[in-house]
Amino acid sequence: MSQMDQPLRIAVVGHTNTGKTSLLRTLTRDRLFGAVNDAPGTTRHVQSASVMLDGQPALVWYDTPGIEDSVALRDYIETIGDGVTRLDGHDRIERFLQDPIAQTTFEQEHRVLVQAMQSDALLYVVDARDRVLAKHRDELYLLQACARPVLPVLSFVASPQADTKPWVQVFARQGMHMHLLFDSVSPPMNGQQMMYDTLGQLLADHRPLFSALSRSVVQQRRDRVNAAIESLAGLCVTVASLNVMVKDETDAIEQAITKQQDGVRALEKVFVDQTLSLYEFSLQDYLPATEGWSLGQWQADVFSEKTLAALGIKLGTGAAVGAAAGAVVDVLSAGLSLGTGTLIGAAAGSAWQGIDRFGKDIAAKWRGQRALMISDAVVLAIATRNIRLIAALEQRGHASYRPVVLDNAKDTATSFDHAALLAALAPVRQQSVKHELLSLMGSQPSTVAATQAAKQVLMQASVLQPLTVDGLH
Amino acid sequence: MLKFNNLWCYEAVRLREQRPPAVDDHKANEQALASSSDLSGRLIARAQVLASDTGLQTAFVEARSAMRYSALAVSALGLLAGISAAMASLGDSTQPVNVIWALVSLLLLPTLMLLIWLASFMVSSETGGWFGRIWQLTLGRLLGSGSRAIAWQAWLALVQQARSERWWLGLLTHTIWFSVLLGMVLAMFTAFSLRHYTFVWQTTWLSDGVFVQFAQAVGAWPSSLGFTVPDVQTIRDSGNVALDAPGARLAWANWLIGAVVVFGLLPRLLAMMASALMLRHLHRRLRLRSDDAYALAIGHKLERLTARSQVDGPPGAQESWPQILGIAPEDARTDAVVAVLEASLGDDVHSQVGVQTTILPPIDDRASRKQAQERLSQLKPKRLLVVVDARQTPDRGLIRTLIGLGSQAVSTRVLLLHPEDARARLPVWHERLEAIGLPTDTTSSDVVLTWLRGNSP
Repeated sequence: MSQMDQPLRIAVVGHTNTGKTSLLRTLTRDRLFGAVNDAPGTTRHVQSASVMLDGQPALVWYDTPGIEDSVALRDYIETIGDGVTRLDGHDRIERFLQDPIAQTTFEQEHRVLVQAMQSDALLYVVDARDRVLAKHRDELYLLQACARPVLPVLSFVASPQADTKPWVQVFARQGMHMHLLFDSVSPPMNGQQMMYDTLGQLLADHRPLFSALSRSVVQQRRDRVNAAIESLAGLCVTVASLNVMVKDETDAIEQAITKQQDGVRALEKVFVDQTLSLYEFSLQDYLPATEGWSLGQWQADVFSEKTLAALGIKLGTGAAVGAAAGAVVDVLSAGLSLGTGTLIGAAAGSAWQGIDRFGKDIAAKWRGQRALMISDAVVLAIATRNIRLIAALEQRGHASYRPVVLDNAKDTATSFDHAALLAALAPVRQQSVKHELLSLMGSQPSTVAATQAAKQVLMQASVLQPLTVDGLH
Repeated sequence: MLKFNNLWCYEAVRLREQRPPAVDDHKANEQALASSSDLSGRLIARAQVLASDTGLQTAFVEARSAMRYSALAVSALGLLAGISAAMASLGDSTQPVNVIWALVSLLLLPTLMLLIWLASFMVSSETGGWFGRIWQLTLGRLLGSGSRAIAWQAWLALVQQARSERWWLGLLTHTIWFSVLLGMVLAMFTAFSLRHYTFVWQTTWLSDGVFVQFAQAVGAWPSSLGFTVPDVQTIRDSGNVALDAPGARLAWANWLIGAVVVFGLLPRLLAMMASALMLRHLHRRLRLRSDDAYALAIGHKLERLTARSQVDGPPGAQESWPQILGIAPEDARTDAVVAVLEASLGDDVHSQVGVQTTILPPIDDRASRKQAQERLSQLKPKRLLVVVDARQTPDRGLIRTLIGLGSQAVSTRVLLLHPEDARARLPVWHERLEAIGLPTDTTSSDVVLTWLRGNSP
């Protein structure tokens, strides 16, 4: 069969309740594929999922119902025959598939075997926490009789109860000397690649197809990370460039601050929605839809001191880092309105939390106005936690049910160059003498250029490095 | 539809989809898949369907006409301003026109603004200057909120993407200045046709030579376009006191109009054309970015629809199980038997089983199933305890074996080992046991073993 004409067919088989559907959800990155439940016989028919390559289906996975009574089925199959002709396992399976009685007694097993016989290869999924029992050996016997290459896949290997050794021995006794460890709930980052590479070894004739699939997986991952980081850079630029003029009165300032904070939250929500849909997850499946923005960890409010501390950003540091990068208030406005010291003080004080206030230009000061901007610390916090969100989503299996929870690891706070990000955002933050002069000429900084610069910085984040390299096991 | 408009539509739909309420894109996705095979084409097609569904299509028309009318209005104002500027500098013809003064007052501001526009290329700015900003802000306000605001924001975003903002706004400013200058020229033509003007240059301390040179230098280029320049004698004679000769008046009027056309109108026309050409060039280069987060997410969505999974047939019927019918009590031959099914009996349970109780060898494969069945048919116990592992799935094989064993005893109970393990599937076990008519209080070994010893319950 030419791989170009027809897609390769691979059936995923195994005992009931071993996570076949979960494995396929992870492999196809489709969290809605099939039905998953902790009960036998959740999958009650054969369901296919195509893997596209250059817009054409290149590989079709078949999710099959679980085999539930292999012991009795093997018993039955071994009675097939007229006592004269010698039948091997394959002959018996073929006769079994013709047998109308078998189709009612072993309805599910019949479907599995029909699909197995129509496939080019089989993935045999086992739960590595299970003991090897006679029924498993009989399952392997039946699959062997289908005369198709079988790749045993050991699932739940991340569990401490997993014991792969007896399984590997059983596989070897059936002449299966290749197997794959694959945890569909917390899959290895290069899980799809590992699967394709191993299948490429098992099905040597189709190796070009599998290496193409493997390359496309890497490419898709790079594209995703690239797109997500670019949109995060866009978010940072938008948040950094928020700038309102208010009357220099406490009430007006309070009101403006609340409005601006709400604006930032809304912007971040748009970003998170977009990123979740890029990764084919959805907010409503994993996070409480309404409280999502005030509860939990990573969705904690970005304007609370606690969140900033959890993200490893101290209030005031942002501005201090900014000063080091030459990004802080220019002499012109600092001299005439609030000084740099006041700025940091204002950021640290609870009243003006997260919003830096300083007179933007002389004209504003004359009009008795104040310019309010989002503080560096908040911009850094948004960047930090969303980089971590991207990394977490990239590594999350589509079979996983638990919501994304970002840990409080302090070391990740330094995963990108804070000073460089602030420097990249400086042009839109309107804080330099040069900018003041240019703005008199009517020039506005380009957000497109600032986004590109910020993206360059964010792409260097250490948590993203393993996601953007080839990362072959 | 032009290509720029397609991208505008796509950009607007992207912005629309980022805000609530969510758009129903079912129909749009189907049409997108049918319309094209590449992602960019599909994204555009999808955006067009969604744009007409969400009323963005009319917003584009409105935004476009708002832009057109605002440009027209400002141009008309410019024309009027030009006319009044020219009238002001020419005066009411009772006084002679000071040619130098008039020329400078007409050309100073337009030329200065043109120079500033040119100078803006030296700073790396890609935006349209203060005038552009004001225009954008005003238009943004005019277009208000809702679909029209989305259309407007999308237009701004697209222009930023194309880096054509400066050229758009350049085109606009040049058009306005062009109409100002055009107004001047028209006003001068009219005024010179209908009124009697005399021309003069004045000085307190400069020599005639300076004015001769200036007038000739200014008139050099216009003269190549057919605008006459006053000859040296006329220039000299027009100093301080106006010369009322018809030839001189004609020459000066020509000279003035020629200077405004060549140093005001023509540069603006060229700048207008340059801006228009740059715009065309930049917009031709504009491509739909199919590698950003939004495009990729939609791409995934569409791919899911094409690769929609198929099933081999209707799902199999749910299992229906026979109830376990034990043997009659009078047929029983022994008291109690323990069968261990696909599990291992721990020492703690083992030690609590009475010595008279028969423990069958572990049941796992078909041989042991068969053996156990045969032993039980001989033993025919009053009470059969089947020990299973709660972590096992109660699959058909297990249940079938359980029914087979139970049918050889008067009454049967099940003991689930490891019920407290995280992987124990107690609900499923209970459901299955209930289905075959077995009691479900199966996790406490004390209760079950007491029962096994023959004490109630």
